[in-house]
Amino acid sequence: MEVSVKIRREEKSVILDEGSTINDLLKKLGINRETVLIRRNGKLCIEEEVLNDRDSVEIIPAISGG
Amino acid sequence: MRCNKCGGRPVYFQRYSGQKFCETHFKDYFEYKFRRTIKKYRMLERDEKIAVALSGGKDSITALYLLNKIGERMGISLYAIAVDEGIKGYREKTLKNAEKFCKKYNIPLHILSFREYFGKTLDEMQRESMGCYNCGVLRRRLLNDKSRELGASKLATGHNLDDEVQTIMMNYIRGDLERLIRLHKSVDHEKFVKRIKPLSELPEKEVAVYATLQGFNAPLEECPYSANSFREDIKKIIYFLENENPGIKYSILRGYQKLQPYLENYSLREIMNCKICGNPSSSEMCKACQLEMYM
Repeated sequence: MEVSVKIRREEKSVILDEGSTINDLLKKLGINRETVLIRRNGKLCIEEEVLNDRDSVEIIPAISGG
Repeated sequence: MRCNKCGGRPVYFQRYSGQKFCETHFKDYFEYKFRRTIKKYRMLERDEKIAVALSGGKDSITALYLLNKIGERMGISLYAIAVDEGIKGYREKTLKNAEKFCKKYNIPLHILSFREYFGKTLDEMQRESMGCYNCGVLRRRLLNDKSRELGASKLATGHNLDDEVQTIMMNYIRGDLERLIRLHKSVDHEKFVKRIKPLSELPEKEVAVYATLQGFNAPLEECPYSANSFREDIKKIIYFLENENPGIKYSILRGYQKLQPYLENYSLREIMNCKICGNPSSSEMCKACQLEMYM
């Protein structure tokens, strides 16, 4: 399946196995789940949610610098 | 995968406790923990004047919002103080957010700038290799002086659990017992306004969830100068550890708290009066005045 991923201003498509979770997506992208919040199809959600084909995922940095 | 309290759709999974929270129950939990931290460390008293260091980012906005909510019942007067260091493309956005927020909640806001007080912006200072540490020295100087001028008995900051744990680890690694002790033992000096950190037992990710659910719209940009600091290296290590062992940040904090009684006998350096400004200092001249001399 294919999901659309937005991180800050960058948008891209990511191919994942069926039944993948948001956590699987983060692992694939090399992002530590402790440092981000996730909006799936516009709604804040937990990383254990299973993704569907054509989902839109926004990865929001939760950790500030400075 | 439902909220442990009501079975609703979860917005946050607290890995260190195994609990899932829906929006309503997460907000309830977060506010309870905020109030409990204030009570545990006796941070507030009735009818106090409290200054709040406000950057306009999610942490300080959340701290101010909840202090305002609690403060109304306790007769507390709040004053927000923002520091404009002069960081192009970063600080303008957070300051705009700070102004908007204070206007909405009718909280007086004082904005102090590096240019006005020190003659240069941080961008200009950076060209002379200023560094994060020195920026912090100058920022704390302005916040302390303004809090005192406003007659505030305490200065609240938006430091969260992650900030606290990073500072503990940095001081462990450097073997800096003086700074380690100063984390829990306030400087006793007539010109020093006591600090309170009501978010210090809440992880940064939980603050971000709360701020997002409340719609605070705090800008997510990072300070362009933070990437090169020692703190950033420590952060990466702690987030790696937290991911592998959820709850390790609380373990580090509790471990430090267990050490505190053993640090009581350590003789701290004498606090003197800075010969230039009279503020508390560990040497004849405080760090802020030393920096000003080189500008």
